[in-house]
Amino acid sequence: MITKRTWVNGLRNGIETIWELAKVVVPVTLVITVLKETGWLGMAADWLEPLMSLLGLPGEAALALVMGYFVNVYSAIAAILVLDLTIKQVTVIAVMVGICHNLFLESAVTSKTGVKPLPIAALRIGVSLLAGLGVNWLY
Amino acid sequence: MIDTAADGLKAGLMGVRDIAVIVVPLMVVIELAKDSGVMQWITGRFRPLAALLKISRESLLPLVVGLMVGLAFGSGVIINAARDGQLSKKDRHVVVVYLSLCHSVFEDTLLLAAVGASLSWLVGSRLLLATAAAMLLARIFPHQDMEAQSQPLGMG
Repeated sequence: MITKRTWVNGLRNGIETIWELAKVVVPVTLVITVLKETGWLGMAADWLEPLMSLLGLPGEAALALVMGYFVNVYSAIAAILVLDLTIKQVTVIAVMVGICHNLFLESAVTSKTGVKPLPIAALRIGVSLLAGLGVNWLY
Repeated sequence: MIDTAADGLKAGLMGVRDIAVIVVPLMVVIELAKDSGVMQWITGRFRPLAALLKISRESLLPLVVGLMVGLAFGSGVIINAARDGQLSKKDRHVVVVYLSLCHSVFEDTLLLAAVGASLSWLVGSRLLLATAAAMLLARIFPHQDMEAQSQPLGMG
């Protein structure tokens, strides 16, 4: 039955959840912004180039994956729009980024549930790479 | 450097604001759905998935919310449910593994399909791989988790 308590509980749960998330989201966003400005994320894209040919992707597509993995889906989409890619290549990148994105932030968020962040991040990268190879092979 | 840090801080606060405008009403809606019996109906539809993933029926709520609304929201529901002692350690791990591989199916899929990716490949691959990974974890997870159920979380 819906009572006044229902509304109070909902509001309290919402506010408590926001507080827990804010304690993670604000500092992590700050660090990612600084990392991005210093150009370190761009260097990582260069380093990952040899892997790209295995996925049927051009070297510069590493940028989309790196941006997706470590920043978010929006930045990966921005990279996809800038690059000259086939539908198949966009699908490979999209499946990979869909599975694995925003790693720092999302790992920190899920760690609040008591699940260790590093194995989760490793799982997502591993499954993402396998999925990329799979889509490139099967599509 | 100071400007960059200020930009980061601003982005973080705006992100929290964006989450708040969805998560606070969502939590109210969830409480309404729970107390009105609607949630029992929805969770009931997903019962075969709980059996497949060997998780409690209570775990279906964060799973369904995370799948549809997003990882942060699903995690929020896990945090709340775990605080009430409703979820075992195994439940939390299986749900987080599932959701880390597949969440916000509506938003993510639509965004990526909009720039040219195949919609069916996007949805199909994520659901399939997340289900497979969660099923695997459920079958290798140590069995002593019933004792650990009342273990408090590190809520900071």
